[in-house]
Amino acid sequence: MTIKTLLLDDDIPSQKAACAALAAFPQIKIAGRFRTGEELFTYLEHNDAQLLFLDIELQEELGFQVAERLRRSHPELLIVFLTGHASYAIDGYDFQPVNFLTKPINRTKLENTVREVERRLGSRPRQKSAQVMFHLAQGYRIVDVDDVCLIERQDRKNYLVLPGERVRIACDTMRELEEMLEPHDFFLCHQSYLISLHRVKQVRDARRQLYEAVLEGCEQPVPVSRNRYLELLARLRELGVLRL
Amino acid sequence: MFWEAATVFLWCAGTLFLMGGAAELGRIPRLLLAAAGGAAAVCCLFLPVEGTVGMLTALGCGWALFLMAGLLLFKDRLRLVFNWLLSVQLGTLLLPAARFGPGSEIWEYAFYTTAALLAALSPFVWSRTGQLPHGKMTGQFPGAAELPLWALLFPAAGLLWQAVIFALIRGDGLSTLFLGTLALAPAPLLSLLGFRLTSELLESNRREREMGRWQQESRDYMSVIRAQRHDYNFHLHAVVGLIENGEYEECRRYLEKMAGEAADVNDIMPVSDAVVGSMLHNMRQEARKRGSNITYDITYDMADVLCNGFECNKIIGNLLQNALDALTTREALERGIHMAIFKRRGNTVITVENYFDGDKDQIARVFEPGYSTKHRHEGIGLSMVLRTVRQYGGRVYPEFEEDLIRFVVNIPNKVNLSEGEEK
Repeated sequence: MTIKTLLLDDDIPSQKAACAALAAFPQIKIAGRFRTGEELFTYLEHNDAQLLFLDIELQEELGFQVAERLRRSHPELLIVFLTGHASYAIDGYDFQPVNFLTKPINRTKLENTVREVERRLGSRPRQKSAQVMFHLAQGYRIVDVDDVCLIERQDRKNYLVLPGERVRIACDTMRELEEMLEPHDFFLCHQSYLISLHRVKQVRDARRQLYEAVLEGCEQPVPVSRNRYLELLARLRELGVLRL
Repeated sequence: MFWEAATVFLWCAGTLFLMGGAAELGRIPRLLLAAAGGAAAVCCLFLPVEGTVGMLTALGCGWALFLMAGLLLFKDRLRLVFNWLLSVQLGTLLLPAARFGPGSEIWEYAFYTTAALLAALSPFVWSRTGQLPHGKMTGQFPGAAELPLWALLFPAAGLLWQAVIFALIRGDGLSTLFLGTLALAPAPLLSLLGFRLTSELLESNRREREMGRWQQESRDYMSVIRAQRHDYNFHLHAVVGLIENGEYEECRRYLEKMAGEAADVNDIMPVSDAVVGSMLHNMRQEARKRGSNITYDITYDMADVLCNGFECNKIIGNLLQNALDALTTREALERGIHMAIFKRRGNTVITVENYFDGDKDQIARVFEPGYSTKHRHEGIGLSMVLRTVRQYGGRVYPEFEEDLIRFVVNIPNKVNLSEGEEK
């Protein structure tokens, strides 16, 4: 599978350097190179792409502004930021290491980025399962993330639900647990339920927009909030868990 | 008879109360219980003391006074007071035993001494295991696990005090028991105080040492940057010279090397704190010296993180030092260390990852309160990280992926009020 990639950088030598670095990855196919945001948007009116390498220091605007516009018009386009300024730190923008590269582009970092992009685009199977340590009421325990069905909140206490087992979590809040498990494809589908996306077998409308999710290894269906329903579907589609 | 029974009842209720975690109770019930105990104690002082019941009565009054004192204090300080109370109680349990013993004075004195010893040592024992005897209120004295043996001098002083008291009050009846109970009290108090003082002393020593290292490191870093600036002119001339001579291939190689060196510093540049930057630089030098490497992925400058530069340095430094110490096998050296700093949902996230093929449960054990860190070097650093991070409401946890271990540190950022809190 090839990844249709675009590159936006106002500096031609930089563009060439980026292309040279990307040439090492046969799955990356550069479909267009642009020097301004306008050129990019004109192109995107009639074409689509999966991945964009975006320079932060453009002549007329900042790469973030382009990213902000793209987030609204093309939310599915993955963006990797490029910058020549190592000390570029912009507030209000969460950079994950995988979507932020400094020039000159480091080979190993680019490899990690490409791997993550492939993972997000679903063309690479998930990495082998990870294990996370939970602080349970009975002590610390290392748990295989794949074994976790969900985390549920009941009577102001959080419970870790594994197939055939339900244990209380000592003191972490739902928000903290969400942060901890988000990188392992967990999703907060309801304020009291944090579910493993890979275990979702079905999402259905029980009656009149009362959505619920059926999870593997879990007898009871889990309620899904109305305002999180669409996002849940999007995440599932992104992961290729459900054919919707 | 009624009063004796009531006191015995209060004594039992009080014990259960302590064991069951009084922290769950509200302030009013606590005060009521304390008042009842106090009143009973005062009443008992006027009762005639005869036989077993009288003995228990006397015990009850001594004990109830302590309970009252503890309960009148606030909740968070209660934990320490409870610990102390329980020690006293352990000791008082042995007092009637002395009465029923063989009867000779020597035996009695031996029992008193054992009781005092128990009372004096119990906080130490509990702080070592990290568990107070009442389930809910688990806790740890600051730094107790790293205390040197001479901290035991404090409980010893408590014992000496008791010896003096006993020598003075030896006699019969109510006054002996009451004063005996009272005399047991200072020993655990003294030992608590001692642990506190010694751990503070240790902490300040450590701070001073780290401060020195800190300054040294920041000087190193600045000199690296200055050297790079200085070299720039020289490099420029070299490149121009190579191009003029038409040695393009050589020039390309030269520039690549230059870019590599620049990238080295660039990796660290995003960190706003020069001291942290210098530490990262030094750690990487150290890793390279050992034939390995550290790669940095830093996309957040940590400008808003709650802890100060010194603490950031301590947290990151300890994590990296642990990772460096784990580079013992060839496999580990080859894989190296990977570190990332980024921002996620208003938190600063720091991850350090390296090769791991040890016992995962051993890692989980390090997180248990009171894990003995004396003999395992990696535990010391980690417990320091834990303490600092928890102080700011952050979290530390390990993740495992195939043959990698990754420590994730999550520290909240300052909330920017002008932006408004999210949601």
